[in-house]
Amino acid sequence: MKHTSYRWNTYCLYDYRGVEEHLSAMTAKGWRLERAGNNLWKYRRAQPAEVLYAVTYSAGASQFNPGPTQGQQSLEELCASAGWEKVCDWFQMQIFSTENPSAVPLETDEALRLEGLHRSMRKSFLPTTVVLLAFSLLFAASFLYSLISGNMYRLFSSNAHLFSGTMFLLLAGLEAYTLWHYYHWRKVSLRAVGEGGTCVPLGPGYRRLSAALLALVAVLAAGYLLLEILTGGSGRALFYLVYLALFFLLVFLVRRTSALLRKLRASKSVNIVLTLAVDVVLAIALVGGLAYGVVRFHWFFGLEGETYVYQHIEWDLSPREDFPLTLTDLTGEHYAHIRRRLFESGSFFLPEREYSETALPQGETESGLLRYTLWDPKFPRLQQALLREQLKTGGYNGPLFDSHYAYVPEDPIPWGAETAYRLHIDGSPKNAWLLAWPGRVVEVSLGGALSEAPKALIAARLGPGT
Amino acid sequence: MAREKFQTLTEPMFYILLCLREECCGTDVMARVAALTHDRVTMGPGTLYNLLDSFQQAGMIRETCVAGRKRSYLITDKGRETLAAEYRRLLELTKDYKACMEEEDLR
Repeated sequence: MKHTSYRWNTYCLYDYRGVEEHLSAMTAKGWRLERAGNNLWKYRRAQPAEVLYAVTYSAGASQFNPGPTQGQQSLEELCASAGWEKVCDWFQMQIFSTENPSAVPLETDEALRLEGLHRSMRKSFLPTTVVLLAFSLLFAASFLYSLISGNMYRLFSSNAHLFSGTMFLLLAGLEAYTLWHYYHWRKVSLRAVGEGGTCVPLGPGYRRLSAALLALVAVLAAGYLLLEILTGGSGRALFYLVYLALFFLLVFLVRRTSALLRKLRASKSVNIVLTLAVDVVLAIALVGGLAYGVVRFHWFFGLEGETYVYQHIEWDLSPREDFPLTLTDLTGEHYAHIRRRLFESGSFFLPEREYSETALPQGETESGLLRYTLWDPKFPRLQQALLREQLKTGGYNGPLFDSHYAYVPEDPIPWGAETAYRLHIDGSPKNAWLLAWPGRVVEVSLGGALSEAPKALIAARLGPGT
Repeated sequence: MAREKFQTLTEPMFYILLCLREECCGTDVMARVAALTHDRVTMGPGTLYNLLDSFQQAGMIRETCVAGRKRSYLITDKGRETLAAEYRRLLELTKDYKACMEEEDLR
């Protein structure tokens, strides 16, 4: 038989009535609140009993205090003399209980209750909500901009952009709704109290909506990981899972630090400063360590294979064989030194594969270069948006070295494509093209010693179906 | 803001200030108010805690001693003035009531 139970708290700080009713109902079922964590509330099994719960607020209370403040102690003393026993506190909320059904209520003046509650809300809940709203909007800014500007390419350019943008937008919506909900509740309650009534009950609406939004965020996160597996392989999904795990580890360690400092009787300001310092250091160490592992040791994304250095360039000992088009295909030459790289990105709706190959024949000094990117847009409007984006930027993120980059239309028939463009730099054509078939867009460039481009071969290898 | 807030006193405010003419702690205030009003005015501990805090911030009472979790208070001159002003206001109300009722009786 379980003696303790943990529940995810869905009540908000100002829902005093909801908390009171919930705790009484739990006690009637044989579960008494033992500790109210930030999110998880711990209950211990007890004999089912009729117990009254009441909450009040102490603005000076804080989870960084080494113990109850003088004000809290004074409140506890007053409550004890009226037959109310302290259960625990949750931020500024002070939870009391009594088994005496005729005990004087904790609060007998609704106007004062509202005033005290608002003082407490201004202390932590409201500033925290505003900060979270600002951060959510900041993280969702790029996604929001794509939505507002109708830039479909930006919107679908990566799973991370699409999903994190949606998630942060949802979180921003939740925070904004929380702020609106509180001020609306306060306004209605002030009116009711002014007319001699009590604060209005909150009802389960807010809790249900916030729980539904959080569940949606969790579903989106799961969907995101699934799409990463589908489009980028399990390595990338594993990376994000580890990233998520590190985030929860960080939250856990930061909370433990604060709890330890409380135990050591550190003052509130010392606790805040040290907890914040630990938070920053751990965040840098964990995220930095993960990034270092990815770059240095190729964690999650696999090793690129063994390499060797020749003429100051790193070459592959066993070049990968899964390239749809290679320099050998184009020239028929045998290359002694080859370096091939593949980078997969994009999103489920717009997968992107970027291939690059550098190859050097035996005894030569000038290597051949081949680069191509394949996109497979899942619907025509996205393909149009992608083409517009590529034509706008000339395939690069803006003009480099004051040169003018532009894709100029050319005859698509030799390519067997729907449309074809050739890159011109400062008016002179280069060996770089942007080609489009239904459901496939290709950007290909040849460099180094290569001068001829066998269009039919390139089209056959890079066109749709490969 | 505090002056505006305590321009008129509610019954619990009035009785708290009245009780604190003599030094006493919060628990004693609750008992004294109940005794003085024959349980007509009941004050929850949360409400009393908030009021004592507000009075102290407004300079109408001051803390005199802290013994363990118990804190004792005493009314200040400002608190006495507020209490006296409330008393005068109540007298005005009573006077107006009487005048109106006497007028009605004469008619």
